[in-house]
Amino acid sequence: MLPRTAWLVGKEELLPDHMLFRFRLKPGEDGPDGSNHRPGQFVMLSVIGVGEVPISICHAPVSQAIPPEERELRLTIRRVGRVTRALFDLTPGARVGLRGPYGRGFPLEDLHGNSLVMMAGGLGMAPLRSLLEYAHQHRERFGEDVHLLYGTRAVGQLLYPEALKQINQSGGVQVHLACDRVPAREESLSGLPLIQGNLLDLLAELPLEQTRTRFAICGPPVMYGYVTDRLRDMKVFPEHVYVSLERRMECAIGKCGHCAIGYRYTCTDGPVFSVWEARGLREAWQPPSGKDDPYLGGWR
Amino acid sequence: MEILFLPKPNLSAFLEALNAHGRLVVPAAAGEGQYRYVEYSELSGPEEVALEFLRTTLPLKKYFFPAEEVLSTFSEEEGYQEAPLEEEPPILFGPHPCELHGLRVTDRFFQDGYGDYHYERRRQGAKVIGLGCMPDEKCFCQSTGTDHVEDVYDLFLWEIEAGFVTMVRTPVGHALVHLERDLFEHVQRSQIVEHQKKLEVRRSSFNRVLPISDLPQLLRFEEDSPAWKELGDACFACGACSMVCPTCTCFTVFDRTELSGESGERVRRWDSCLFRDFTRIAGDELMRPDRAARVSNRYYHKEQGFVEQFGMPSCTGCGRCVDACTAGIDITQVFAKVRGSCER
Repeated sequence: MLPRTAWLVGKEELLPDHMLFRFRLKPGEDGPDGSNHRPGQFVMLSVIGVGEVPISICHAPVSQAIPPEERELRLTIRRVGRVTRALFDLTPGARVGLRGPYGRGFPLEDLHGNSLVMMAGGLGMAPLRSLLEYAHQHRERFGEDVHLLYGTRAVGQLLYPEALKQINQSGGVQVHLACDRVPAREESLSGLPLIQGNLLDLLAELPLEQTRTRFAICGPPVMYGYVTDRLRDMKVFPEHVYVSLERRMECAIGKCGHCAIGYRYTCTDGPVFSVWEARGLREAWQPPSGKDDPYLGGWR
Repeated sequence: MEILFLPKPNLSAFLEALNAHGRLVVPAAAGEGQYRYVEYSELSGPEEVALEFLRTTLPLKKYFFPAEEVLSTFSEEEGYQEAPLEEEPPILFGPHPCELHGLRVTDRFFQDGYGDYHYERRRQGAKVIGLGCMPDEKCFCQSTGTDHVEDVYDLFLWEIEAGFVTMVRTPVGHALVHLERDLFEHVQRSQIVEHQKKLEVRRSSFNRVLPISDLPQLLRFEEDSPAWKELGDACFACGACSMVCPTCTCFTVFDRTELSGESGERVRRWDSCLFRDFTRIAGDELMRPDRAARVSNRYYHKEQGFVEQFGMPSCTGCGRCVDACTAGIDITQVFAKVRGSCER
């Protein structure tokens, strides 16, 4: 549980209260350096004198051919609590603590060879970007179609528009955006197709071969309720759907108990769970109202 | 395994020998009907060691997982440094079988997966001398299958009229006996027969029962039992049951900063899943705001979650939570109620 030495080397505002931070681990330290994680994993970030928080990694692992002193770990962070407020006040050069990477990321072995539908809601785009980049870089490892469906409330809340545009243009991965409110004149954002609506509207448009498609979903719990409900109606199996859960974490090694849902520890058994695994973990998410059969677990 | 006999008059000399050898921890009286584990060196002599006791207020976990512990120190210049440990590992005298089962649970829990460095460095090298017991009305270790123990200990002493039938299980136990080998005698067949008869009496002395083999399944059916709401209304969420439980291991981590703001220490402290803020995340969202859900979560973790994770429940039947509950909640009654709601 000892944080390793790292330095903040850069920060860039993405949206109000959302910043992309770049860190460099002290060479020789055994910790997250941007090259040694799996998509979907997270790190524990310490601000000296303030505290420690779990943050998911928002990029695919960089090549280990890059020399250790040049590797960077990138984290997209929202200013929302005590530690992240202190973090936003740091300037490049500041010493921080990092440990990890932790948790079970997306099960790449199961995703490989299949079509992939990634669905992100709000800041859920940050952790999912690690898988998006990976799928883009290793497109040949996946099946026929790879899609990203990304929804936010307003157009101005979309993260990484430029990066998404580049990925979409290079082919192989199709990006689809949905916002609750879209001004009439906008039908695309940076050339990306944009609809007024939500993720279910985007999903309805996709031609899918259910048994050969895997789903990776990242967003607020309420979204898991309605998305998994729709997938069930589409006869998708729960073991083919993966969600990333967010909980309070203080140790990240399966001991402190704060992130436990039933007997599952979000930090070590997750944060990525298949819906089959999350089934029966009542606190994982709420089903849409009127659809709460208590004996169907989280898949209702 | 070796079986010996320690005559009663020799116990004091053995305790003195253990104390001379290392940091001896023993049970001692602490007020009306209360007992606690203390360092032998704090007592005035071996006569203050409690032999006729059942549960101590706090279980042995406090020696390996202290109520509060510094994990690391930090400063702007040095970053984070592992906190040194200066205490030598204890020689624990007196834990009953349920206590040793509790220790086995925390051993498995903290050593599983990543392993907990801070637990393991305190646990490593600790020596364990168990002591037999006779149940009171709060004990239900017979139901939980924790009334006997065949591992965890180095030495185990079962009391009979003239002394203690002494089970020597490990080379460590053997070495402890050899601190003063002359204090021990060969065990006589008649002493073993007397011990067995005493165990028969012990076996028929339990009057509190908690059937557990079907509990994991029962709990799956009864997540919505009205019993949980009832319990949620009764519970004060004070967390006392978690503090005294030999197998409750939750903790919170926080930074304690010097006034200068430039250095300080990272600390962990016992926490309880019954506390409302336990699941609070940044943005002030609570993952388990409902008290009934928190109460049931604790029981589910003991009797179902632990079975899923480790193949055994974690409740040891020690009765401490029954003793400590300010609202008079009794775990055996809790499950009886939940079971009852299945039959309504």
